[in-house]
Amino acid sequence: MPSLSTPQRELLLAELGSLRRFCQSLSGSASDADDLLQMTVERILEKGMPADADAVKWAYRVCKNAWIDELRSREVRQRYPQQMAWDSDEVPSAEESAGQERALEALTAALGKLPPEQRLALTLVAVEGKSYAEAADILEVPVGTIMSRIARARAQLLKCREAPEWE
Amino acid sequence: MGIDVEETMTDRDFELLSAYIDGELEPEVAATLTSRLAREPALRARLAELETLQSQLREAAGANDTTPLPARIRELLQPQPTAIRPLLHRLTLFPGNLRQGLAIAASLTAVAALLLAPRWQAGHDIAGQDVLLAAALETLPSRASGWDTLEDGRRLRAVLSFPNHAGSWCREYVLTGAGSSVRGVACRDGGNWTTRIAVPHNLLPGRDEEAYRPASAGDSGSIASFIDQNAAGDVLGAKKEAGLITRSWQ
Repeated sequence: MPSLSTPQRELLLAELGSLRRFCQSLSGSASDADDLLQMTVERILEKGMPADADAVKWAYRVCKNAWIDELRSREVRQRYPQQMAWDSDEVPSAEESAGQERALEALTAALGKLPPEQRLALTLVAVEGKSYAEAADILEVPVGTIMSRIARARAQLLKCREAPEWE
Repeated sequence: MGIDVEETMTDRDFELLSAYIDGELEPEVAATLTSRLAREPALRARLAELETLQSQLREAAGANDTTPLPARIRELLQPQPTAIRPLLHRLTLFPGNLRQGLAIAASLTAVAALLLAPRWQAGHDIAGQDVLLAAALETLPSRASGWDTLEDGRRLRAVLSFPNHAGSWCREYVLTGAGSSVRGVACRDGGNWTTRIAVPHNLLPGRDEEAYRPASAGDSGSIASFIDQNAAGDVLGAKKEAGLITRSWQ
């Protein structure tokens, strides 16, 4: 397989910010996101890309596969249930902003509990703004599957949102 | 307080609401849902919750956006120059190894000395070190045909890569320019590529320009012998070689 052409490299450079946000949503932490992003870029450079490939979609696919591999090898998801249990000793002093921050943390934790396929679909569409067709192309599933995965993911997150720590 | 989805709406309704905020409903379906939203408070409440969730998702994801991208990741994707520039900084980083490399260079065969002819001096730096060739061997993959053009106009075809008994990586190459051509093997020691053997290589006009000839053919017997004596393992496959190039042969 050919290595990356200059236009493909430029496209990926322009997309790095979005890819990193995608990594952040998948991994749940900034440091893990940067590691996942680097792993993605290294894989792309190592394995190359067909000359006629859509560089951006290709990169999201590689990122998705890298994340799933990482989940499998490190069992990352097992770390998240601990994050869901709210520690009542960590009450912030500025209650309002801290409450908002806690809600986001709880949301991140809830995202981490979603099945990977739901989280991928939700992140691509709700965070990255991809269309259902684009997400279906990246994840290599039918559009209808994307629609139902996203709805199930949202339903699950709303259930978590009704838990006390989210208020 | 949340609303129990199962009591107030079907899963299908929820899926419609979800697709509605993503702008993915067909116009007529969206119109029907809009009518229902006007008369069904439970549906409206659920939509509001979904919209709040949506903004929180984006907020959570964007929390890291203000942090600059790590330079190491950006650098990985910098477009490669079409003309190979010398990596002079690598040479200056390893002055001791450079001296060692020069000592090795001094022991090259008389044939190799021909390679350092003045007509190619532009591509050479410190005492005959071919920095353009070194930079190209550091960064370019092997190819069976075709050429990469160095900054001084010479053309290079990296032919193959292999490990030697000293634990270094070596590369066979063909270098052509100013009417003559050489076939050689350079090895990477201390970050520098130093030619260990090089012999004149006769190009066959119209044929050899694009064809790959293995080192055992014709005038390349001494190169083949060198590789046989020094190779400590198989020739690298394209994938492994690409990985080593990405990692600066580490």
